[in-house]
Amino acid sequence: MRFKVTHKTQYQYAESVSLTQNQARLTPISNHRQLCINSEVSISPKPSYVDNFIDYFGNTVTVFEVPTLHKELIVTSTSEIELIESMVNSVPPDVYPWEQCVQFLQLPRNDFELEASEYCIPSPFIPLNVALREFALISFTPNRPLVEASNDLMHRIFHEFKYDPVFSTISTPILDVLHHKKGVCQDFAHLAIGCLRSLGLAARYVSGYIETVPPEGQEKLEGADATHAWFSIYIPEYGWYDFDPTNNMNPTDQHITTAVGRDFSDVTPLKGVIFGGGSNQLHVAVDVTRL
Amino acid sequence: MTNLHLSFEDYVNAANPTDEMVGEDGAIARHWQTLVDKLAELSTEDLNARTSEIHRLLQENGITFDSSTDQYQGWQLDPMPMILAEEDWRFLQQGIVQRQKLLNLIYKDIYGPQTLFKEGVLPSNLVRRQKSFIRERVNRESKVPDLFVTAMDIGRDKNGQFKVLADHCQCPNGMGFLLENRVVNRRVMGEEFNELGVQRISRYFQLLQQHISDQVAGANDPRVVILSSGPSHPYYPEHAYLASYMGYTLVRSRDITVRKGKVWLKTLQGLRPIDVILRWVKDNEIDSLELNEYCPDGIPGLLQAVRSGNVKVINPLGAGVVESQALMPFLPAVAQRLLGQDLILESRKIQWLGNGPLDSKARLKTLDGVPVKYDPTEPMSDPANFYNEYDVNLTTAPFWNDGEFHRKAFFLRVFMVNTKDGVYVMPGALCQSVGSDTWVKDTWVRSSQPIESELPLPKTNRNPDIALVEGAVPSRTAENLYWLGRYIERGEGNIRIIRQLLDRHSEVTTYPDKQLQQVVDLFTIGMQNGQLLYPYLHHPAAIAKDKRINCANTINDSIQGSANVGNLAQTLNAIYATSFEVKDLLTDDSWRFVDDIKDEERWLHGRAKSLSTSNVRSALDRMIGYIMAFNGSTADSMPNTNGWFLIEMGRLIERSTQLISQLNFAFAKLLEGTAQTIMIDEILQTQVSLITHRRRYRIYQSVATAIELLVLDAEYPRSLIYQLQKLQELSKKLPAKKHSGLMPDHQKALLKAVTRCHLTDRDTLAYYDDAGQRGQLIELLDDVKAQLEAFDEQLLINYFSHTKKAQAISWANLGSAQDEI
Repeated sequence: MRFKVTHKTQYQYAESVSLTQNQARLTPISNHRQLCINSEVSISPKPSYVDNFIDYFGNTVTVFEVPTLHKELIVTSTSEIELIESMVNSVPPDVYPWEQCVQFLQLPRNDFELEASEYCIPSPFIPLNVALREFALISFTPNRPLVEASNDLMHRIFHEFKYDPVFSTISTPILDVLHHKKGVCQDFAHLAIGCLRSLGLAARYVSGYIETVPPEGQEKLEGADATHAWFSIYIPEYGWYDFDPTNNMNPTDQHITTAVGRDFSDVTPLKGVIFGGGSNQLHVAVDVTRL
Repeated sequence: MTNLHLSFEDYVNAANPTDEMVGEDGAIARHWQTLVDKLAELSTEDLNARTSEIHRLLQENGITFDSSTDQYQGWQLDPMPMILAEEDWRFLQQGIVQRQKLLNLIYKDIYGPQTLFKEGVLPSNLVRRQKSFIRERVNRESKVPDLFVTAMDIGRDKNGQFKVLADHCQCPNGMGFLLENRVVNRRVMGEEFNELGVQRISRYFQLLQQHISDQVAGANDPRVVILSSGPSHPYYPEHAYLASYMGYTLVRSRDITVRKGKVWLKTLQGLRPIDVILRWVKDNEIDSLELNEYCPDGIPGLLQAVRSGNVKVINPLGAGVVESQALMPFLPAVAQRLLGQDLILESRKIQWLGNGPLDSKARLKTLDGVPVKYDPTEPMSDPANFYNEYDVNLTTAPFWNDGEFHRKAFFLRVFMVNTKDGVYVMPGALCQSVGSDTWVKDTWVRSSQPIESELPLPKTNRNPDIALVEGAVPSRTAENLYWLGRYIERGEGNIRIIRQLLDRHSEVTTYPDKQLQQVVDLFTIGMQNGQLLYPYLHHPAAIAKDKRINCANTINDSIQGSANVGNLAQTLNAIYATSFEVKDLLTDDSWRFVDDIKDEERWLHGRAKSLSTSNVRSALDRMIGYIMAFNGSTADSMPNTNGWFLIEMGRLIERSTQLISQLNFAFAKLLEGTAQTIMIDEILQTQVSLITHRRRYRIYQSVATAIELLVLDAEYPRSLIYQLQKLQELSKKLPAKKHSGLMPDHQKALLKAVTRCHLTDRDTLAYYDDAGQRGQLIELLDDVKAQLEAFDEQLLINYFSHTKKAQAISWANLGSAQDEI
């Protein structure tokens, strides 16, 4: 399956910006479940400097600088991604009880487990604590296999939590999300990761897109798609396996990954430092097309 | 008069063998004997005198002053040094070199191949949990740089074992302080120093400089900067001291910008490339773009510039991770693994909670070393974020204070530099007492070998500063110099006016005179409504009719009244603050006068009301003296270097503004009879022009002649037109922003002002209408003032403006993806 993704981010400023330095994570990652065939990030006004590097988590980062006076900045990334069919449809063998997975991560047996163990510790948006652990333990009963327990956790988040785009902001702490049982995809992903890490498991944050299908007989609206977020768990001897708590499913052939990290702070699609500008407004439009 | 011999005897008798000065037999330890013998001849008064001398010398250099709290810090330098025996030093040196090598290897492994994690010698998640683990710096392919300047805090426990209390691997504080202490200590204890065969420390700084030069070898006109977070940093004076000692430009993050992946210094002349940064800003505060936590003092894009190899941060980024105390328990195993050796220098006892239980006997700290209160009954949700720190029972040493020796526990901060030839340990240390107030000693390392002949100390580059000679004045520095000039002139002008009113007021109180009383009242009003003093309102604020004219209160208010913006106290503080910002450029002498000004202000603070007139009068006299001395010292030492003309420009603008406001106050409206004559004299007096005026005009003195002298005479140094012409001259030193054939706007403004003065004459200006208004004079003053303001604004826009503040924006649009699929 091949997809074309267009992701347009537009900033409008109340006052002129004289200089801005930015980092964009808008180039989809190539990994075990997908290949990024090509990707281009175009910027307006024309930047004076553009460079790329691969960050600690394997994501491609576009660094750019716009030194001319502007009141609007538009960053558009256009990419073609091939999902690897055999991988996106594979289901991991669920052989280890979760407690044993925790042990593997505590004393890694190989480089994969050593690398994965990084995702057992707290990160900027995800502290660990007793409340999260208690919430998780309802699903993680003694000796329950890892994937089964994780799926149960995902079901519970899906059923017990209300999807509410008004409730949360980027900085809503996950304990508030747990308390009010409301949030958006990012909150659910953060919450689930916090629960899993509180048990000693390795879980990471995945940002990306999801293909939407319009109701039958209707044209798909342009820019109607959106960015999305879910989480991934390290399964010993298998690798990373994805869970989408917002849609209560294990992603298969409709989820396209942009970047991975410990939490949202590692995968921010576009961040910058501006000189001037005053208040700003942001518009985002995403199109996912199956080719 | 007590002999020190007795003090030593008392001290040794009362001390136990866990004191550094006492040997195993209970007598004075061998390596202290020479010093004790030498000092025993002195009296307690002698040693007290040396203490005061030290205090004076350090204060002059401003290094003991903490600007953030506006308080003298608890630092107190003891004339009595700490003496280290040769064999102890040999042991320490060996241990320090080994430990330093080890920390360097750990640093390179963590940011490189991570073998220690793979083999389980070092817990990976202990490192990954730390804020100072800069993931952006991990690079498994390319070469990881070496640590550069580092330090260790070492104490001796009561069993005689040296223990490392802390490692400092990114930007160790105290090096400049140690250097300055040594300079002062040697001055005060010169004879003893020479006799004891003390090892010299200058080589350390030479190696430091050498290593920095090696980094830029071959580069054409390389620029090295010292990055400090600024006066709010408790060690800012030290940063300034090091910068001027080693001859590098002292900068702050706002002085630096990243463009096209390269790092630039924002200067008056535009952007200048930077090649090497010696930073005194911590890892997690250095890049406000890339690092997760937004840091207002960061330089956006710096990490990318480092990654692209366009700039070298010579004390490498991410090094903070190896200084965590939580790593200490793992060092012996790592030493075995990486060096195949036992760790020579043990660390203090530390236990990471990821590896052991909470211990109520120890102190609980976060991985960043922040002490935490804990409740043993409450389960910890994430114990691996903490460690237990155990106390070390430290040995004591004698500290001299208030005429006697005090026994105080202490530790040494020792400094190292990693060069291509290996680790070099500075033979000396900062000896610090432990406890509520910090007492500090110089540490003398004795040597039985002949001391290698003293290499000349690196040339101190105080005068002139390299950056200024090169012509690259950071914009922020330029702005500070300009404001320093304005405040200095404002201070001087205000003092003169206050002093004069003080004099007239006492005169009229003793010999009542109606005419003089009228002028005194006018002056009082002029001060109250901000015409004679800052903010120099051209059109005075109206004063309520019933407000009583109280001259004494007005004087007090203008010195420190809280309602008066720009009262004298505030102006003096502003002089201090702006000087502090450019401290690295001031000579010792200039700084001393600034310090004196601040002392006077402190002395006067809250006291002016209760003081007798003559006390206030003499304080004002002293202040004028210091200000004039400051002017003299800067004029004397800095006239030819680039940038200093900005102080002069600030002074000229301020003086012109004052003059315009005072002339307007005095002559805009006709006064009757003798009052007019008195007013003429008073204004001439505040402008230090009374005598010239008398000599020149003798019996023809009038408002017209005063105007001629103070406004129109282009050759008279206190006239308005003279200030304007001087400004014209200086403004040509500003780097051109336009084609050189075109006159820049700021020069146009001055030309207009000067021409305006040239094209009029004294009689026109002195003419008054039926209502007694001197309309022509008012118009001229208004015009010149407007042009000065235009000039000032141009300066701000064109030369100081790129000190703008940044803001972070982050994309945060998420989550409308709950679609049915």
